[in-house]
Amino acid sequence: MERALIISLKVLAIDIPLLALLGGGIGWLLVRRDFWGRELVSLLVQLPIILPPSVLGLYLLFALGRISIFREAGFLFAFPAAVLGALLPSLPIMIQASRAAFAGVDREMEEAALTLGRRPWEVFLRVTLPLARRTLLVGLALSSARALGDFGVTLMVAGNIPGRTQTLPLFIYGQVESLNLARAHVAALLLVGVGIASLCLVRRLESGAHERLA
Amino acid sequence: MNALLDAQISERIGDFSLDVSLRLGREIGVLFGPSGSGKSMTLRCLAGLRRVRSGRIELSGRVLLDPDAGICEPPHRRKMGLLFQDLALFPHMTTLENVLFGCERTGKGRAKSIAREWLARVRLESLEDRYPSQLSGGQRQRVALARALANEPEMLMLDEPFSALDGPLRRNLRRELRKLHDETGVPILYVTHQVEDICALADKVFFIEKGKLTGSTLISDLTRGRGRVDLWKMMGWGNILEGNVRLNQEGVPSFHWASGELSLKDVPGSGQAIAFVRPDRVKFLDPRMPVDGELSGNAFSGKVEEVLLDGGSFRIHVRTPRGQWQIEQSETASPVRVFRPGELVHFAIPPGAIELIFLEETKGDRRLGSSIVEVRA
Repeated sequence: MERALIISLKVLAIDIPLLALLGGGIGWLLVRRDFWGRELVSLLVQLPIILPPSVLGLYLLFALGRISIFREAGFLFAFPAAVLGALLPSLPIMIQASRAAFAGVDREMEEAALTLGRRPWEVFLRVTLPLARRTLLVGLALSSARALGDFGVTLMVAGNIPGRTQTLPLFIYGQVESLNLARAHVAALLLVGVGIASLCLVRRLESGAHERLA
Repeated sequence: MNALLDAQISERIGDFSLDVSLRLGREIGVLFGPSGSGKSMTLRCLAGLRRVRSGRIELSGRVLLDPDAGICEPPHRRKMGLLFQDLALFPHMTTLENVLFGCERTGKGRAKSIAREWLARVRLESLEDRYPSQLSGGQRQRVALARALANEPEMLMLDEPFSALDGPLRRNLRRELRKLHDETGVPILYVTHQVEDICALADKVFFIEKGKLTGSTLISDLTRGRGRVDLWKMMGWGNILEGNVRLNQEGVPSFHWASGELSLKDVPGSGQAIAFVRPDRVKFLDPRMPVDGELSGNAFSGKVEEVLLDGGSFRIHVRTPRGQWQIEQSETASPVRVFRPGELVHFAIPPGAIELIFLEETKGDRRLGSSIVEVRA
């Protein structure tokens, strides 16, 4: 179980920064930049939430197998595939939160900061980001929990190889199959604990956000 | 006075087109017009928050916008402060941090003393650790003012910043703004749709309607004469009557216009004239009380058509058989009478409240006469 736990933690260690950057960035683009095809993009990025993990997994499988860089890099059925498999279905959650977060920042705050002589990147770091922070963190907590718990997509593209791609959810599946129910329970309890902890964090962040607004 | 700001902006947004040119020296200019006339948009264009496709903006000799020459300075390099209607104070920063944000680039240590100095100037030094949500409306306005001025802008623009405040607080802040302007000499452009703000604050007024500049004038030119009537006409404020001043056999003057006459007081001369009555000089009468002899000749009654709360006063439009009258009652008047549309009211024009501007008839072309007389009570 330790090995599965370590793999899960390693996946998270890579996915959390990716979620923050990609999810946060795409959400910001969708809210603050007007570009051709924005509606289509905002629809497409939400798709992974609705699609069954097996369908998502199938397409990712083909992408990783067909696109030569990924194929040559040997992503398929290896650790990178586990990272991608967990990232893909959790990214829309982060994008959604990031859109809400940036849309909630009053444009006038940013404009006022600009007229006070601050460059756009300073305005982003000192005004936009701090004001969007709480909602962004809520999104990050929820999407990370989703990434930690991914089962279907990871199974499709990374397989269930103990010590290499077997994350905690896959470990539970394996233990149940071989009727090691006690070990499955311990691992499941661990995930329940993480889930409750992240929900508590979200609750705290959300109530804090309300206090600030009041 | 040399113009510090010389701006010409043309911009189309859908059906709306904005076309204004402004020149402003070290003065307080007021952009006056009804809502939706493009006042706020003008400020946004000047500040660079909205891209303008054609025009030219020059501030203190720096060209900020000249699309033909490929110049369009971004807002953070324009040195134009802008105070938003909602103030846009940063809720995650304290009062001091908000003001610091405007002047930090001058170096940390010095910036702090500059920020404190500005807070002291707006009398908020004791509240520097409070967050904006912990301040009152008036205090927030002063923080926003200090923040904008601490950045040492070459021009300060205000977008109806005091509109949410009530009478006395508005007056205080206007005084404060006037004082800050006198101390700093920064040109100020102020957006309002309240007549009161113009009289109390402005050196120069720009009238704007449906995106077009319909006129501009110096307040000092308006203190007397025909210009004043033009100002009131443009603002749609006041009662303006065109007619004649006549003297009867005993030499008692009265003003005759198309639908009636008014008795006057001490008028040297007669002839064609414009009579102007400030709405706040009209007196309401109580029908149960005897009418003052002086007022009896100028008493009217009519139905209230509309009641507007404008700034610290109620503006009441009354329709009488002899035309429509505007009457203003201060919110602080005692006793405050509440008027409702449709109600019958009685009022009188004190002869001393009628300002007369004599006109001369020359071949159908009306010119300002040589004798401009203002009758004061």
